[in-house]
Amino acid sequence: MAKVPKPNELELKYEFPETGWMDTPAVFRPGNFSYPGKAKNLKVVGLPNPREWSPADDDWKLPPDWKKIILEGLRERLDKFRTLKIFMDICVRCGACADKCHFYLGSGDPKNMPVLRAELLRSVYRKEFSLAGRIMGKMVGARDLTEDVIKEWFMYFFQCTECRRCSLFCPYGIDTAEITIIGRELLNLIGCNIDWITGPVANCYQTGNHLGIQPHAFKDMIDFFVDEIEAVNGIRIEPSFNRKGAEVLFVTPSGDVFADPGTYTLMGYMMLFHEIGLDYTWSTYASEGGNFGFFTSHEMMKRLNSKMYAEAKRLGVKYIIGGECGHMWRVINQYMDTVNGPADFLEVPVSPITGTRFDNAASTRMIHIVEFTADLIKNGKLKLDPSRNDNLKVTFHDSCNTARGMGFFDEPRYVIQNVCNNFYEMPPNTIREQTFCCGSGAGLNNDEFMEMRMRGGLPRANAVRYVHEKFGVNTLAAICAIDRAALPTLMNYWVPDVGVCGVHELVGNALVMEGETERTTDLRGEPLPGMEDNENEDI
Amino acid sequence: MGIEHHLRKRREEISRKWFDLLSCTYPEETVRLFKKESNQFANPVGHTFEAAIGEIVEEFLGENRAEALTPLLDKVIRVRAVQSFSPSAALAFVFGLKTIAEEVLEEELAEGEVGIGDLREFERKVEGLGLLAFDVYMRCREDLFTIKIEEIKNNTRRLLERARIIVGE
Amino acid sequence: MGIKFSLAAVFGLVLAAYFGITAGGLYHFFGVSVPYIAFLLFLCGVVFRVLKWARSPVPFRIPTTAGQQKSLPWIEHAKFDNPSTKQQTVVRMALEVLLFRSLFRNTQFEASEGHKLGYQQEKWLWLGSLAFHYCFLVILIRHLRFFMEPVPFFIQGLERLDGIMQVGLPGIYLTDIVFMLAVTFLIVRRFVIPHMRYISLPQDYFPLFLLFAIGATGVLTRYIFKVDLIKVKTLTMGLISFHPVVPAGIGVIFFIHFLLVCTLFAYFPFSKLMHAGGIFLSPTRNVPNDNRIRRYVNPWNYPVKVHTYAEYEDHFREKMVEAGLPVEKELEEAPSVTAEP
Repeated sequence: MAKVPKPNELELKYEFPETGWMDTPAVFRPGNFSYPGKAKNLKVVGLPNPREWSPADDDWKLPPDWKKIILEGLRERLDKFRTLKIFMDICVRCGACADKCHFYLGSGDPKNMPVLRAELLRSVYRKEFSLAGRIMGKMVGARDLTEDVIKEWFMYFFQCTECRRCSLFCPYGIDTAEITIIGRELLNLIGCNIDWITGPVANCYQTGNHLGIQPHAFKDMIDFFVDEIEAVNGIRIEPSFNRKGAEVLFVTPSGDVFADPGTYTLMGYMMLFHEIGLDYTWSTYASEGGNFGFFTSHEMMKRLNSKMYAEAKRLGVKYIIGGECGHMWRVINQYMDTVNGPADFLEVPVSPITGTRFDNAASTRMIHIVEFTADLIKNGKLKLDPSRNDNLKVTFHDSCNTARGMGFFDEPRYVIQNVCNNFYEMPPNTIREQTFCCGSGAGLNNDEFMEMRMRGGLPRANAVRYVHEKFGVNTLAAICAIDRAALPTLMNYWVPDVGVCGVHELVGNALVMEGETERTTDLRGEPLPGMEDNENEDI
Repeated sequence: MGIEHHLRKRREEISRKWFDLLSCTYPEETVRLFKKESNQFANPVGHTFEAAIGEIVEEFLGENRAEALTPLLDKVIRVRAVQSFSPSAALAFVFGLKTIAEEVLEEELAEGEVGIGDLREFERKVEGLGLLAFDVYMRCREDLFTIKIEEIKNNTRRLLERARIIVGE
Repeated sequence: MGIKFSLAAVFGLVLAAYFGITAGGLYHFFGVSVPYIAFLLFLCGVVFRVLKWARSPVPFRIPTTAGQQKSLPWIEHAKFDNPSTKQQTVVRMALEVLLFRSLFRNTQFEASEGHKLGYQQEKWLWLGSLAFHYCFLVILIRHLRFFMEPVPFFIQGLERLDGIMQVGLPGIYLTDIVFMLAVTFLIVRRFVIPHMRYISLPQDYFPLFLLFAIGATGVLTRYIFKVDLIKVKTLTMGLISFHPVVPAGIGVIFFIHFLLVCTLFAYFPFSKLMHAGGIFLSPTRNVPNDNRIRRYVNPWNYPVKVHTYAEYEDHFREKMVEAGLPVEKELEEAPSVTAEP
């Protein structure tokens, strides 16, 4: 390793290995993998093979019958998921997906082409579940399941953010997210998982939220924001917790409660609910909207998600409102009612202010706060002063899950355009259904994975830089807690002058509340446009 | 003045060769993407490289000011600093300019229009650019470490603040 | 390796038919046994494959949403990119199957871009595959004339339309030309684009070579060797009426063409060519995005271990009471299980 680079090394070409991708093993080095799941966390939720290990080690301490476990797991899933069976069979390797993956665009690693990511699993499927593969082996793209294959799966299934951009362009709708989800399920069967996922899973299961904040501390945090809001506009909000008989249960990702800049978004929710007099309650039991179980297995997703309906039932609320979050909403939109429904103890959501009946949530009975707010604005129920956001030039990042797992595009844009005067779209092939991932989704927003995240987020950052340079955009709004945690970092590296906020932070800034004192600062304590001179007053 | 004058006439060729050299450090099918895909959003890395290389050549053969070169080098190196390159591999492309200059000026060198001394002088300039690139690379890596720490703090900032208030009071 | 192997396989087939007929005189085998076996394999294979897929349930409704969801009444709903009803889903599927909507999506952007063409390669992919599939369909329909007596009017009409250029004798069909071009394009892109070469497997090359060979021998049969079509029709009509006869004097080129076609049919159900059927079953496309409106039932949904509220309260009761949070059981009623700090 430690040799002096010679000038002629410049001529060295980084060519394809002659042997093809199957014989190119995964190399783990700092920055390209996430730390493994800790034994204690695996035990909390009963995940198999808890142990101390590292992907960089040669010996992964797999259970002795790991091969049998994986193959039986694969067989079971082939019988349970038509998606998997079809996706294993029908890919024609047309290459349309190849350059759609943000990790591929940012890293150039061929195994990040969605087609190859799926081939990692498909090659084993062919060997074990097809006659041709058994007889002809590599000739037909089949290979044996070895420990090296497991290592490769671990590397690349935890290098996919399940954003589904490739699925959009696939002529057969092959969904790499589905393959990654099932690939991770298989890896979990032999205890190969990452700490950034198993930690939050264990915390969420036991304590109710990802950080493992206990009930009294959770209440304390919300109370803290009551003070913060009072400091901004003199209004004292009185939130309630675990209150039976409230009309609405409100659930948001816990990132909004603990991590900046999500906290400002949270203040926005609280101000909005107070202003319209919504009869709602927080829950300390269901204090997490996010669901890292979804990044572990379908079963774990169900186990964690169960709290929302269970708590709604116990408290006897009429319906649930969910905060701004990406994968939380994919789970709610595409899985919750199926796994934990029917929600027959709830009612079809009706906005108490506008009387609008949300028939699009007739069965799930949970609505997105942004659709709720959009309806309020449309009906003229909010007094808004968008000029308070005049110092911001805003663009909107569509989060992958709400984009391609829901189709939630115009509601947030409507809200933003009513609370801000300066809104600019990024180029069309980087937004809406074609949106680029932040590069940190699906449980990959850990700091040891930073280099990969910066690579994966490059396509997104590149589009932001474009509007930053062209229109002077300085604010990137998003309706996802992982975005709010990951995008500031991404922006710091690639486009340092752009900040990140949630949509309801902008709402909170613009909302004119009854009985408020004169506002001089925004929710971040920074002077409002035109108020810069008043800064000498204390905060 | 001599050698730069000749090189400036060939700056497009130099840029192209330099971009090719930079691309060579990526797998073949990725190179295709870098070169063929002209949409800047579908091809962020290739587009960034192509644009920045041209600008660096322009400045380097022109006024060669460190403060102008730094942000231009940053565009390329910021990408390479987060890809799987060792620091030496990430920056080797800079020194490729020496070889490229020699290639491009083959005729002039043969005919004696450009002397060996001129070439040596130019090579020293490239070395200066290399040192500058090293500074830029380090800053990118430092940024990376800083944002890591920032992020860890940020994830629990409110908790810490709250805790401090409780302890402080 | 994959290329050579696939090429060798196709050559092997050609040689087998050639020597089988010329040297072996296996007219009955290549004219009767092979097509029956191939057709049987095709039929059973396809049915088996589809049933095998259908046997696995669809536990979750996970369409890839490609447009605005059905939401508040004043928000415009992208009905066919994000369908909320069965009818809208049918339209989405039709766009997908008939026009390759998802592949076309690649080409949307650069139309408004003006200057340089982005996504060039994918635009060609869309065009190439669309041309290929439609020509294949027309050619298939044209060939029905060998299995019907009298030849129905629509086939005759189609032939007239297809031969509209009226060049040469017999007249050249447009679809023959386009088909050959499209197949060539699909082969060439696998050769020249590095990432295509990197991901391609023998089973990607083989069908393309096979189709190319089928097209080429078909062209030879019709335009160069001018095989006696009356005799061919006697053979084919015999096959479908289950009274097979092999008339003497059909050129060997026909048997080569025929064997290759039979191979395609026999190979079809066991290969990626089944994408033709798979697309109809693909759960990211063939269901509406209506999960919040209508409950979707997972046939194997099973109870899981959850952390109940009661367990949670038992764990944290003391702290909750202290913080003034409401509890179901007061401290004195509950057995003292307190949380570790």
